[in-house]
Amino acid sequence: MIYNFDFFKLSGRLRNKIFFMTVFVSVGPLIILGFLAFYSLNLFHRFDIAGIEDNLINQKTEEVSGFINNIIGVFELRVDYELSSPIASSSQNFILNELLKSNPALEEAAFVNTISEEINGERIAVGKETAKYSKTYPNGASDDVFINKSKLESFQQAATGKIYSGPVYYTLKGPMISIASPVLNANNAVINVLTGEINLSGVQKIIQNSRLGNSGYLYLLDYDGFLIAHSQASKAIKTSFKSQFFASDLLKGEKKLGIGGQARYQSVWGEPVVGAGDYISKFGWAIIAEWPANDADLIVSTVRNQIILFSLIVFIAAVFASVFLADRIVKPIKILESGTKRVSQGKFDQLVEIKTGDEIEDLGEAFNKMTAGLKRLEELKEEFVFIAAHELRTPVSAIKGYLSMVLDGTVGPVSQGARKFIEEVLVANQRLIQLVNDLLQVARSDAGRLTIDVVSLDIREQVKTVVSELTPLSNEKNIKIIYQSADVPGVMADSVRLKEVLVNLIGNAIKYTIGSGEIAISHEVKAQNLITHIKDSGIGISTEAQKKLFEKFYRVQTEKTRDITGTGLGLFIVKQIIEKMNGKIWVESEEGKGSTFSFSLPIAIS
Amino acid sequence: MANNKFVKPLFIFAVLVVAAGVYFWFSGRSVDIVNRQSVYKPTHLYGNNDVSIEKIKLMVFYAVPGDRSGLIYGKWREIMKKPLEKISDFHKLQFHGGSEIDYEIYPKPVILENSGSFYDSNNNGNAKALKLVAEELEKRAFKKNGDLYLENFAVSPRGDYPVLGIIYEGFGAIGGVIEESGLESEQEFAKLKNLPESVIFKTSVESANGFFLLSRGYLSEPEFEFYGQSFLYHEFAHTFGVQDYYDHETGLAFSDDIMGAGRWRSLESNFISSDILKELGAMN
Ligand SMILES: [Zn+2]
Repeated sequence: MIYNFDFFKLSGRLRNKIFFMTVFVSVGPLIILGFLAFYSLNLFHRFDIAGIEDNLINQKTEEVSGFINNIIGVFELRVDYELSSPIASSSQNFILNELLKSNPALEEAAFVNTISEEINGERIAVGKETAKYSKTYPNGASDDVFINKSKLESFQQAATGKIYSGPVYYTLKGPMISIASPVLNANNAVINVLTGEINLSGVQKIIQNSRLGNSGYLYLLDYDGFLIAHSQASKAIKTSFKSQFFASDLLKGEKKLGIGGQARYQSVWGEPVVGAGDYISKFGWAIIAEWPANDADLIVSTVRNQIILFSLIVFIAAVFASVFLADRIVKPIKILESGTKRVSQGKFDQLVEIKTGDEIEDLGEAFNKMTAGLKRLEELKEEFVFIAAHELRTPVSAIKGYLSMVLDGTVGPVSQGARKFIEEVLVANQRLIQLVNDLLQVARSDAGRLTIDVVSLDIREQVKTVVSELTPLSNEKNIKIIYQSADVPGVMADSVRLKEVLVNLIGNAIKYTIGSGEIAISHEVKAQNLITHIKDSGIGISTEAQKKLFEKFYRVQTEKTRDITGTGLGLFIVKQIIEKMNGKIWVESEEGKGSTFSFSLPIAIS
Repeated sequence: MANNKFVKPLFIFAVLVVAAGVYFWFSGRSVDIVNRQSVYKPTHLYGNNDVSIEKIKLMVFYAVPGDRSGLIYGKWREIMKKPLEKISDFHKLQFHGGSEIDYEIYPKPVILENSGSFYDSNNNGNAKALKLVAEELEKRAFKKNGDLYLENFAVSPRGDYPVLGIIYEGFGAIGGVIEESGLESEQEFAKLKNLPESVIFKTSVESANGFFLLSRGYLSEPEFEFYGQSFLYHEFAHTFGVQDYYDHETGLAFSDDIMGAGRWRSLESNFISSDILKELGAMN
């Protein structure tokens, strides 16, 4: 298929309609689908991010809480005796030693006295440590470093039976928290307080073991907004996050999970991020996951670009397909259109050729059948005319012969009255003969059987012969025929046919001159042609009539021509003959002022 | 032209396509919320935000009374250097980066003009020694005509807050803020500056705003191995106005940190409580 790039001149209304409609129909849904695809992609992506971040946060919160709760759980001591006396000194040391050995996160553990009574003859101050093990004193501290904790909140709270866990403090060994737990006897009375310092390096490890896409990270903040742990060491900063809106909201107890909690903002490290977070109420901490937007949206950007690219390709394809389609539909219609034009001009020979393999091809075939039918009809008509004219010629000639013999008196005298009628019949018969001859002539011409035999001849001889033959007729009407026969070259023509032409044209000039008048015949040499003018002073021909003058069976119908007889074939035949002899015929006329018929013939080369 | 009726819908169509493109290109890239601006507040003297302590210049001397020159600790420099390094790290960590120590050790031991009994007092902190040694150092090491004056010692910017540190060949552990004007009493000065009275020392030392004295033994003797460095920082903390968080009569601590019960802990696992840090402007 070769595209007709004239298309882009936007010519042809149907083609444009088809093109634009096809583009609309194909690209419209594409755009709507693109919209929906983008929308759902973004929405699902937000859900995905929220899901991934929330999962990480929940998992790490659980791990961190588990880590601390495990140690706190170990600190919940209970003895099975009912006495309100502290645990024996040796047992205290044993327990602390075991605690430190089995819990690497424990920096220090100590038993604190809560009993004010004298035990074994000794009174120990309430709040005073009675045994202490730590990383510094792995074999137990001596009593000169035992501290009196009676004024400390941790001890005071644990002494009332409640577990205490303090704020995070930051040591060179890492972040730590203090805990204090009551030791209960069988009656649920507090007989000791067990205090401990927990190193949160384990929590840091939990946070450090977090992965979030390529560059996402997780961090943990204490109650005051200070960083306990960060999954990316390079991002560890010392200052408080409390002034940052996201962290500060979380530290106030808000949860920022799910698609509603997730937010996009500029992180304290200056990067646009998608953040989510949770408040760990038990410790007053905040856990935050931040995912740099360009990393988190990487998939979306890629898919979005692919959709745009795909849409563009489809759009271009649709445009080309539309051009193709429009062309395919319009081209056969154009072929049909030119076919109908040919038929209207009476040309039935050329068939339309449409190979589209669809209804339009069927239409083309039907059109061809119709043309063939019309052609057959035309042939039948011509055949009928030829046969009819041919069959009529013999009887009318016989009538003419016998009537002439009757008038000549071959069969006896003819009365004056009978002679008059027979002469009328002869005139009518002569008209009939003329008609039959004309029809035959036309039928021959249509069938291509008009034979022309051109030779070089002197047109003046022909003109003079015809003028002398027609002089009785002109004299009858008192019409003067002037022939200016100057020195003219010979022409190529068929002498019999040329005579027919002259008889016709000069005869018409006499016929259409009403009353007396003048007919002037002249010649003119123009290029390689000899033009003959026959000018009359007759009634003239209207412009309308001039256009149809040389058509078959055309007769000028006016008040003045009503009584003039004729077949309407004369000028048609004249035109056929002139053209067969490579000449041309035309008329110049003005109503009431006469007409000039002119024809040209090629000059003979001597 | 017949195409005119197609031009308008086509144009709207094109605009829609472009708008859709723009919308999806930028959606999901926007930053919803911008951070609130935080107001920067420098760290300052305990309870007094007029005096910044963002940069502390700590000038440390090993001071030996005249009659104890035989007791000069051979590795005096080494035993000072590591603890000073440690307390610098500890300080920066506790202040969350809001204050830093730049320490400098005087290059040789200072043999004091008088014997130990001249400086030492009966009180367990040895406040008398602190004042006397500081005054002597002021005269001998910081005045241009002093016999110990070194042109290149502590000439570098002294920071916002210069502190004089004395490692004393003798007993004592004490520190505080210097009241140098001498017009008011220590009590009046404390009130005026909104500082705890216990950490104000009236003395004529111009070169520093705070000072402390610590017995050399805390840094070298095995019995103080675990908490000697904590003692060093504890006394240093007094120099910017932090008071003790324990009762001087009963010894009962009301905090677990380095200013209270925590002074018996190793510096490694020590801390400054948030109550104190708030007073110092190191946290809100
Ligand atoms: Zn103190």
